[in-house]
Amino acid sequence: MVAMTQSEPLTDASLAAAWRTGDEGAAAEIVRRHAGAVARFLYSAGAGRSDVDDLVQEALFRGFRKLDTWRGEASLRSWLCCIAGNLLKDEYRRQRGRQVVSIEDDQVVDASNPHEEAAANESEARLRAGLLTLPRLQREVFLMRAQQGCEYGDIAAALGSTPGAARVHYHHAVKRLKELMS
Amino acid sequence: MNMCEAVSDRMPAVASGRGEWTAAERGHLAGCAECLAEWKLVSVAAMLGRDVTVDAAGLTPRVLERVHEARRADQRSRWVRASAVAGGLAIAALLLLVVVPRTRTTAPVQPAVGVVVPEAPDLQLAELDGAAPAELEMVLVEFDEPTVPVSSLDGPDLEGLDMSQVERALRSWEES
Repeated sequence: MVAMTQSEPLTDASLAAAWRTGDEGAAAEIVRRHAGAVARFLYSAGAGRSDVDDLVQEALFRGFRKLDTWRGEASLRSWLCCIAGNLLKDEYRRQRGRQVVSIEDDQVVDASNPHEEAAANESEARLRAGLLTLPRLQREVFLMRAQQGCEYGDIAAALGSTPGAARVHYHHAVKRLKELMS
Repeated sequence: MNMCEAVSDRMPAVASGRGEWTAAERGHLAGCAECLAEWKLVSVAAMLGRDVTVDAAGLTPRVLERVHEARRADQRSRWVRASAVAGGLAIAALLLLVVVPRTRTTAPVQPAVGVVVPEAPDLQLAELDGAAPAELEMVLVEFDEPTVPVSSLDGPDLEGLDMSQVERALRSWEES
């Protein structure tokens, strides 16, 4: 079992190394740290709310299967988000281009909510709808940057691109989303 | 890096609560419509899906069980592949042992020129168990006697023939 202290939490690299030696506690900690972020990423990138749980499980399964190939150039979170993005693309293809997600009932603004919350919900619904219109790479780079807080170098390493290219994708996404949201 | 780029780069950290705007940055946002519009986008994106949760404690055993099952499947498929290779090698070895010697022995044997291979005598032996020693002796003597000429050299005497006569004789043998 991985020893973790409050003052000095283990890095993702240490957890991955421990998992490679068979430490299931390390695997549990990796899931605890990143499953929520991967779920939000998948949902924001177009996964249906009811599908998120299964997709997160599949993304983490693929991640653990390929963890030997993770060398730490990208952060584990951005690497997992990249796997989740590929998974979503596969799912989209598997369904032969059918929209993976629809705007669900819980995204419709609830008139009983206070005005600010309703406005926030509406903004989120519009942003999510706008994200679905973006090219996949722009959408994923924007979410990794704006939602997950990843650095451009980190995003580039996860996507096998360059920081400059990641920055360009981000700015194209922002420009397009500004147009859609205005 | 101009102020717009600097503010843009700081947006994710501030939106996620890992940082705060400085006074200068706040002042820039107040006066730059482009940066303000980007900030609104980033702040909404940072909150997007915040109510989407997963049960990490329940998820871990399901994920690990699948990983272990996949590893077992990998081991099985490796074993099957190894068995297939071993079986293939065994079949190849068997073919080498059985088929190759047979093809060697079934190749037609060319008799040496000028040598007539005698036909094997048609031995139709009666049951000899009850034969008397004298009868057996007679049978053995019969076997010892040659039944066919053993060599083409048992032909007519060629001595004293000139070359053209020898040629004719050889041709006649070949035609016969």
